[in-house]
Amino acid sequence: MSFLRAAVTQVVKLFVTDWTQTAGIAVILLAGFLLARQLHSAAVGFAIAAVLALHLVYTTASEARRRNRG
Amino acid sequence: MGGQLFSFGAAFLGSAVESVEALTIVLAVGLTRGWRAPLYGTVAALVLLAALVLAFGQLITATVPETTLKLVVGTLILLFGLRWLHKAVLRSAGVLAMHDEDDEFEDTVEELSGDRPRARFDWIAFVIALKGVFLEGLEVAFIVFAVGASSKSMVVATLGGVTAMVVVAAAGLVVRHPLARVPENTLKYAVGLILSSLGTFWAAEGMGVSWPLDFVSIFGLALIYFGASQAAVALNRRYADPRLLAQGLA
Repeated sequence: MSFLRAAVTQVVKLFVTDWTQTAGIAVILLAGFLLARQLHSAAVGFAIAAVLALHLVYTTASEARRRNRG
Repeated sequence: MGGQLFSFGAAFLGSAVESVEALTIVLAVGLTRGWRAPLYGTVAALVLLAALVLAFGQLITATVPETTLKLVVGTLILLFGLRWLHKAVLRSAGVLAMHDEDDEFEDTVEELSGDRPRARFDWIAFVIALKGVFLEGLEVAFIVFAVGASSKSMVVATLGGVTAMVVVAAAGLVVRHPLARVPENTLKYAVGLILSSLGTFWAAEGMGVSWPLDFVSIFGLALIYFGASQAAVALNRRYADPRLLAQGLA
């Protein structure tokens, strides 16, 4: 049973570091999805990447700040 | 051809990093308690993982429409890649300690050395090797499945994953010591970049985006993630842990 729990935890950990960060990524992708359905343009794809990249800068900076305070 | 090279490279690099971690556990168990049981445990874990990839791979690719598959698997690869990139940025900036295979090796050896096997077959060594290889291997299985399913080149991705495992296992046999010199963070950084770019490419395709020059657009996406991650490393250096910097780990 503990092996099964460890396997499930490992699978979740494959995709999620922090639930707030994952929620942020989900919101960006959802907005991209709605936009792409209308425009079908590659610009939407690059815009999604740019916003996700900014999100990465923000989340790493907030984690670094939090660890530095602790 | 270019797309297949991407698939092979992503599966190879991602699997190599995780195989090093699995190898560390098997070596620690084997050197402390003998080789028979941990090798059986390793084989059992590999069979279990292969069955999982084959069963789910066949079922999902046969029943799920291509655009849905690209959207879902692309999103999962993206989450996976960004998670690795996030950690690699913090490690490069000196905020997080580097993952040290030597430390993990010593910890496992210490954990096992006090409890010598009394039975004919060392079930403890078997279970520890099986659990270690299976749990680390789940990431390899996911990378191979996701890359293979999205690019419609499961054989190429499987070849990449298996080649990585064979190369790492061969290196482990030769040195009989954890592969501490493998620049794990650099590899994870590179794989994080590749997977984030591939994930964005496929997820956007699944959303209905048509890319100019097809897979060549992946280079553009990789450039965006590379620029942002380098900026993040530079920005986060001011929060670096002085002890990590002093140890020369950052």
